[in-house]
Amino acid sequence: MYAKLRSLWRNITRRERLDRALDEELAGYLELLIAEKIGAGTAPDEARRLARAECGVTSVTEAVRDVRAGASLSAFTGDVRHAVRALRRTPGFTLATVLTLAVGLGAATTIFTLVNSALLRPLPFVAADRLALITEFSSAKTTRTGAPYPDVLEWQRQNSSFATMAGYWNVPGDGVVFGSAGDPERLHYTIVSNQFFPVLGVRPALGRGFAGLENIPGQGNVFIASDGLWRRALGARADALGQRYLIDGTMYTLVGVLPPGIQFPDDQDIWLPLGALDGFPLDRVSHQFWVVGRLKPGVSFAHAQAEMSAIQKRLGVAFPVTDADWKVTVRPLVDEYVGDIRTSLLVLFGAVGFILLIAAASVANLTLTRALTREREFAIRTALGASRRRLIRHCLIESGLITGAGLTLALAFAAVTHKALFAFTTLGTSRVLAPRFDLRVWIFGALVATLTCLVVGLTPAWYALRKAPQDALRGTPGSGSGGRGRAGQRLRNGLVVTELALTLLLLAGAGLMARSFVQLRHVDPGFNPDRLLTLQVALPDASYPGRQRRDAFYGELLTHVARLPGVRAAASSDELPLKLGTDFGESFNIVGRPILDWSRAPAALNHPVSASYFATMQIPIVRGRGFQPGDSNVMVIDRAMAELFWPGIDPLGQQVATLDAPHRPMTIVGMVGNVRSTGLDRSGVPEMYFPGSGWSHLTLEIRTDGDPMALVRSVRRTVTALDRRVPVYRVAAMTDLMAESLGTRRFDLIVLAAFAAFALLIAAIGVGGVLAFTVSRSTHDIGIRNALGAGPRDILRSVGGPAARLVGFGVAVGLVSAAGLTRFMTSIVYGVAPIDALSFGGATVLVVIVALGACYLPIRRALRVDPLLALRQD
Amino acid sequence: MAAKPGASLLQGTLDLLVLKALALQELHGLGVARRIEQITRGTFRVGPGSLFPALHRLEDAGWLASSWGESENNRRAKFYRLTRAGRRQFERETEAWTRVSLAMATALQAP
Repeated sequence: MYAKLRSLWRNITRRERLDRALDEELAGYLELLIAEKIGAGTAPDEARRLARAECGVTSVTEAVRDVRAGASLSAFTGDVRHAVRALRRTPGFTLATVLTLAVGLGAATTIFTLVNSALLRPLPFVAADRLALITEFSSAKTTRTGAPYPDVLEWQRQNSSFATMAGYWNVPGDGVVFGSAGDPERLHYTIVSNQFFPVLGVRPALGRGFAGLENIPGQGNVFIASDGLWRRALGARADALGQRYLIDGTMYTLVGVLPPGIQFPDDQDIWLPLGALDGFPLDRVSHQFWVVGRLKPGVSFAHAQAEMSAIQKRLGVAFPVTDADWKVTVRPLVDEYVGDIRTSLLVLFGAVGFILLIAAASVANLTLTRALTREREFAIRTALGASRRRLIRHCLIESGLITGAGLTLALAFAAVTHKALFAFTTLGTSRVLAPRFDLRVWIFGALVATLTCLVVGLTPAWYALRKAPQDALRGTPGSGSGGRGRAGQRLRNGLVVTELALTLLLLAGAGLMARSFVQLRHVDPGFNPDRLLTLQVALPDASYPGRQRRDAFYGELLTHVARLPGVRAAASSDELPLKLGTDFGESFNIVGRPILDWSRAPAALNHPVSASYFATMQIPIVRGRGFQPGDSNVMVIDRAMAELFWPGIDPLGQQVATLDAPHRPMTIVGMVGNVRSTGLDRSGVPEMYFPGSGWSHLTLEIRTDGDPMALVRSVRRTVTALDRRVPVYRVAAMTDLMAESLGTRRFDLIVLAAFAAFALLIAAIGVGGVLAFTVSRSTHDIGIRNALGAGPRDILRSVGGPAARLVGFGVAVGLVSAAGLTRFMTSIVYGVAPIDALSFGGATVLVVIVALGACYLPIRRALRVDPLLALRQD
Repeated sequence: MAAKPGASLLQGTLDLLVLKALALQELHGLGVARRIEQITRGTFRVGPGSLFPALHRLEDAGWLASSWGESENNRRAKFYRLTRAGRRQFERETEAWTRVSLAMATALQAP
């Protein structure tokens, strides 16, 4: 073994010297031979001639080289050089195949970066797949909620499934004002129990986590900052630790800074301990705490769910009034973050698979065409004794070169674009997930490219080898006689049918997405989004304690803003419509009906709004009236709520008591149209409005005369003039927000449409190519038939017939597979059936038109074949 | 490879013959060819097209070593000799070959 390796090394490194030595050795051999012959009595000249003939020196040199260790290696480099030369000779072919594969592989690797970021390694935590999110739900509430803190303590005490568990209190969208006058920022925060960071496996990069008494109310005037906040606002200095900072007007001490990239659970910049809460809600009614738990090794989610359900059942028995109706859900934390986009990514990943197949089929097709034109070359090489292995190697090397170039372009593309792409999807709005371009992407690219290379390389090799060389040599090029090329033709036809079918599939998918998108664009949100500027302001708690101070500020602000030039109307509410995922319901009881316990009472979205809200938003008042200044204890409901709770009854005059003010029932004075409050694709969520101005933050809706964004500066100035410590944030035109809310769908649509367009192009080239090849092969036949008096109609039938059959077959296969596959898109299409006549029909028409269009040139050529020229070819 | 009718070389036979030829003394290429001719009593005549690939293959395998030296008529020539591994290989091959040829002979003489 060692000797062999040493020889290999020597052969590779000292090839020239070895060759010289061999020449010398052979020359010596020749001399000896001549001398021997002369010694035996042959004349010197004759001896020299005989000896030379015996040696045939060049072939001996070749033979020796072939047996040397590493011979296959040098043959390999030779083949590579040969293949590069061959590819350079046909730049059109090379460019087409490399680009096709680059697009196919580029699409695959780029989409894979998204899949990798969102589905494979989404959360930046140690063993994130062992983390569970534990929430509660009840029969009366449509939405999931947190758990009351006493429940959390019981869970912790009784369970044996979780190694650790921690609660956190996160109000999505809620924030605190950080810093003081001049440059106040509104930041998201979460109140967490001491175990929170240990459960996630996160260690602060600086300082420490929460500990000890910081869990106790009143003891926790400390906070932990995100890396971003520390760099942005705290000067990125280590001595920021221990300093005191103003949060909502109160001083808190910084005790820790988290590592970069961790802003869990939402896009938090500040974490406070439970002790930061003044009034600690220890009752069993406030379902505030979401719980993360780390499963013990070997415990499954199902097992944990079963155990937690049993514990919760026992709590229901122990506390029948508050806990009986509440059930608990344990699910992977990961699902919480990728749930919405999972289907969309899987559909795109499937589509990418098709794109790759189309690209491979197309390149295999082109390679095969080239192999057919090089049939004689192959045949001659086989006849001359080139081994099958060598031929296969040749084909694989060629496809390897093409795929390698394609892969390089693809990876470069993915590396450059993956961040922008990530930001372009809704994934980008989550600061918990991050775009990843890691080893997995490289491995994925390499694997996919290898498969592609095998498909592309082995198809022509298989074809070339299954033919006996004498068959290939017998025919003359350009003659269509005999059955030759038929197998290749069949293979090529199969590839084209595949391309057409996959193209149709992609087109149908893109069609479905387009239709959903258009439907959603034309969905009536329930209000008029045009020329509507929206923004939020937040008040520091310490400076504005209590509702009165806040209401006074909000009222003054609204009056000032409404008077600004260019403002037609201004209104305020707590949140904006279309705010995804914040469907926090408020429990209520209807006066005059049996009073249900709060844990069982129905719930509806509730919004405090200004008197001007319905008019400004142009939400139609269907019955009764809207709000007037000075209104109190009144409410307006939407049509969905009326239909749900007062079917067939006039809701006006009915009274409703909410959990927020149980002893102060509100009278329904009006009914308004439904507004899509939780997203354009969700309707029928019951909603109630009451006069008011929001909590620690307020949303302003400003109807403008012209471009809403033109007013941003004057509105900001108005806010600053009232109080310099109040931050203005989330400034946007409503139409932009609506477009943004369709982000994932728009992304799906654009990607699928791009894929489909690419597929269509490739399929057109495929069909046209097959036909052109057939025509050029049967020029001779066509010429004879022309000469014998066949009309253009006959020629058209004989040439176009097979092409039409191909297209028909491809369309049929495509329609059947599309019908089977689009049902996986059910959850991401809107307002269209997964098998949609318009999408499918449109896709079919497009494929047929483009495919037949691609046949135009070759058919024209067939019709113009000059019989004399065709016959003269022989 | 020139050979008398019916005496085509079996795969591996040439390698064994080369080893045999070098078992007694070191030889240059032509010497090996002549020695094989001699010990097979002219049954096998090895031409350069088979001889040199075999020599180089065996050298690569570590069974032969070579060195440059002077031929009988004062010409530079490459001399080959058996290495220790080569000698072991020669003994193994000889034993295997004897067994095979005996078996073949027995088989062919069977009635």
